[in-house]
Amino acid sequence: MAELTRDEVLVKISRKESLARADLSGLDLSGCDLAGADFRRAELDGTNLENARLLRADLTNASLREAFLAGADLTEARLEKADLEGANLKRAVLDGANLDRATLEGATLSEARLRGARLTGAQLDSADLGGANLESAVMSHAELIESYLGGANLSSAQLSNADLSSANLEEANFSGAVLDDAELSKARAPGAIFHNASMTRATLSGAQFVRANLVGADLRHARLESTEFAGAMLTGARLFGVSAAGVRLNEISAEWIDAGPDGGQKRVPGNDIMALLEGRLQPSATRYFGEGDVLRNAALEFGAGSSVEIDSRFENCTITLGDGTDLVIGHCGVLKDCQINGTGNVTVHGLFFERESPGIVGPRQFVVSSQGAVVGTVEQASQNTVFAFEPGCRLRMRIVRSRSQS
Amino acid sequence: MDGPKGKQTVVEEGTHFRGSLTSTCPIVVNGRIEGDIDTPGLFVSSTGSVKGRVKVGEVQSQGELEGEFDAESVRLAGRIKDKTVLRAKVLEVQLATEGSKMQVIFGETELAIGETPTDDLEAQRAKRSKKPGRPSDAPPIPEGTGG
Amino acid sequence: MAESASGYTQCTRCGARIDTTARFCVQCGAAVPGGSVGREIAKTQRTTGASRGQPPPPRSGGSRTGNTQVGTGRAASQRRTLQMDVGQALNAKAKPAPEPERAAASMSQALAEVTAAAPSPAPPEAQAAPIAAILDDIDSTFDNILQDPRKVSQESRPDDIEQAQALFRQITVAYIGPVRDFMIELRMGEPSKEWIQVCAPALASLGASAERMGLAPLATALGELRTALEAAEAGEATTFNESAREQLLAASHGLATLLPEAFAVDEERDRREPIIVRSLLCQVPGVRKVQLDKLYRAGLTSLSMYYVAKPAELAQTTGLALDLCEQIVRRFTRYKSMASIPPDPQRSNELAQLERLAERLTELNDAFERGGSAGVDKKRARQERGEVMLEISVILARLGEVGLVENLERFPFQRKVEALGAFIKKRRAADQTAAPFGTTKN
Repeated sequence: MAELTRDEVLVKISRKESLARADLSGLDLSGCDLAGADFRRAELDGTNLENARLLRADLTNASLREAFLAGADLTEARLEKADLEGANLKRAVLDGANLDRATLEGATLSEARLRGARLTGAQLDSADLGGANLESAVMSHAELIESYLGGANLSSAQLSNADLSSANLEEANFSGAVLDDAELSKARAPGAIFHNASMTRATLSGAQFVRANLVGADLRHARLESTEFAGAMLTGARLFGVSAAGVRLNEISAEWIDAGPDGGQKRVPGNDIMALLEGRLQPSATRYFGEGDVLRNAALEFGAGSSVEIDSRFENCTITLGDGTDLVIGHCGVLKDCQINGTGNVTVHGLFFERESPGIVGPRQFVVSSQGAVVGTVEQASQNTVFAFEPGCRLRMRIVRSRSQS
Repeated sequence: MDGPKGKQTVVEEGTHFRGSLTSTCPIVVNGRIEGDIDTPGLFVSSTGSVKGRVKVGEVQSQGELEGEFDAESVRLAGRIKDKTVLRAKVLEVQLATEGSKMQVIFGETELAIGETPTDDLEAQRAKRSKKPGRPSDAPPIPEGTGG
Repeated sequence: MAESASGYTQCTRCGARIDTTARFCVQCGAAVPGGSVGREIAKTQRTTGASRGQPPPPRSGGSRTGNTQVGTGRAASQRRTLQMDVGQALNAKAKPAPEPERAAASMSQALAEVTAAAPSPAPPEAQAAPIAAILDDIDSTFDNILQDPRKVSQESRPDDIEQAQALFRQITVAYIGPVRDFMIELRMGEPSKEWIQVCAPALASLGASAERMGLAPLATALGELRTALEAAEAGEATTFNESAREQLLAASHGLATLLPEAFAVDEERDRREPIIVRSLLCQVPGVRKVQLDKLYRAGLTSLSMYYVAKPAELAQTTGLALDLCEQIVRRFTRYKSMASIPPDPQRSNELAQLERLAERLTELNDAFERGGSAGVDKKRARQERGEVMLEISVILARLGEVGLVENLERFPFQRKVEALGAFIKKRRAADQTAAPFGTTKN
């Protein structure tokens, strides 16, 4: 039972006295102004704090089991290692609050606001976070097993190494969130949004991502065994190095996916996604022309989807690239008096000098890195070439339209 | 786009300036400028456009550029119209997915960025350890490479 | 005490609307300052034989007027007006009344509650005799009014009649509970015609008494509703058709105007229905926040909508999966069957259910507290606790205990269990002390 009455608590607060270690369990403190109060290690089990003001209050290590905090304002409050098991924080405001290593098992946080809150290592197993706003929250290493995050906003949240296994993520928004190394096995995420989310090395085995939006998501090295992606959107998703045995991809929407390991893109057309994920489409081996070699007066043609890297010196050569072929002129590569044709992706780390204009015709993508140099004319692809230039590159270059456009 | 801090000259959206504009402050263009510009910094927003001869320290653009630009550094997004010449020590164009706001659409453009490359890789590597030259030192595009 | 120009005021405890001449609040039983009564008034009720749900036993030699029995053979004492403040005379203090949601089961109960725990100092010896005489006088006056209004009009002052009428109105409000419950059910769903057996006798006896009391408009309104009820009984269907429903609702308007404190059914429905709907929905596996939002956004917020909803239409309107919609419709169909059966006046079935659920809640809470140490699946226990609470919420909402539902949400589980137990105990006790009020058919 509480050792103080409500009025006594308010008197102490008004005198700025500490309530650390006080036993206030079961007390009715609803609507009270407790901003900045010191409740460290206090006993607040079952306490009614409905609509209380607890801005910047210190509840570190406090016990708030089954406390009622609906609508309470805990902005920037300190709740590290607090025990909030079974507590009701419906519609509470916890923006910027610190709940590192707090226990929120079975707690109700539906429609709560936790923007920018810290929940590193927090225990949220079976918690109800339906409709909560966790934008930019830091939840790395948090445990959210079997939790409910339906309709929650976790855009730009940090969830690396978090455990969301068997969690219900229906229609949640994880846009731009970081879920690297996160555990999502058997999670259910129908209609969830993972647009541009980073999920490298995440485990999604047995999870359901039906109708999920994974456009631009980075799933490199993720585990996708038996993951259900029916109706999902995967355009631009990065899938290098995934293990995807038993993955289900019926009716997915994907114009292309990125099968590149890092840096520039390696686009794989939609038709080949299934084959790639199911392991039937092997990324083509890179043809490599090593440093010190010289090739003169040659015409080389590389098939669609292949990968070529040149660290040699090519003189007076013509290189024809198939659709989607990656041509990398390495740091040691020099192409002098050469010509490159075709709808491939050209990356220049070395040197390129054209033989005659235009020296590069129709690339889908043209990138010159900080070490690269180009002297010549680039005739764009019919649908405009994607250009990128890193600071430090050297150019004496003309860009002209595709002849089909002129 | 990282806008300038401190004093700046703003040509707001809906404003069309035609003439010669010289400023010791950076110029932010949300509208349109046609003419000669001399400024330490030129920031063109997605609604802005600049046409003319520009002498500038830093250019950041998400809008439209057309004409002749001599700059120290250039960061581009948006659109580069036909018959545009860009001379700079440093150029940055980020790789962007199709349709994103960072994508650059080039018209008929000449780029003269950094030192003149030579095919002597070793000499270049040695030279790169020194400071790069000024944009005004950049020679014109070699003949026979007209577009 | 907030007073209005219309002759009504507001109970300071529960906020219910009550007549300015009332002695106690019919909703919560709180004594009205300046109008508190002593136990002796309860004697008046027992003397009149008022009962709730059952006719009083016949008394030989007494005239039988509908459901009320009037004592005879009382010696008339010196005439006093009913305006005498007996409470003041007895120095009785009003004690805090019980839960505001529950109308007093009987006037005697309300009075007993008002005075029971309060330390009422014994009246000085010198006051006892005249006070007793006053109370006898009240009894006899009231008895006379009920027996023969003509006698009252001749022998009593006008304000005596007014007081008696006001008292009668309060009795009516207190005992018309089953009719009010029926009207709420009618607005929320499809009650069965069995309700007629419960409501018609109450309406008949109250109507007859109102007529004798000279409350003609009230008598007329009660009669109209009774007539509509009996007319609706025709036909083989077990529930009321649309036409009967509209007639009943129309017939209840008169009562709503005359007894707004008892017939604020729309407001009452608006308090109870959201809790019932939400609790039923949450009982369907797979319905969580996302699904609730979709259902509410589609405007599906009332029981009647779910009663007529078809799974395919529900799925199309809300975008929810068909099998989930089928489960939702099944859940509401089950509830509708249960809700269509009229409860007994003591609501004993519901109380029995509550008792069972409270026991189950205790078991689950104990299991949860023991947790993993006893090999108990805490997660399972937590989930089941939640499911039991949903069932409890539905029953409490049906009983009109919306405030209790809201309070339970605030309590930790141990306290929930205690609060439930206390409520059930109090309710049972109240029902046991309730004096019967005649509901037999004429």
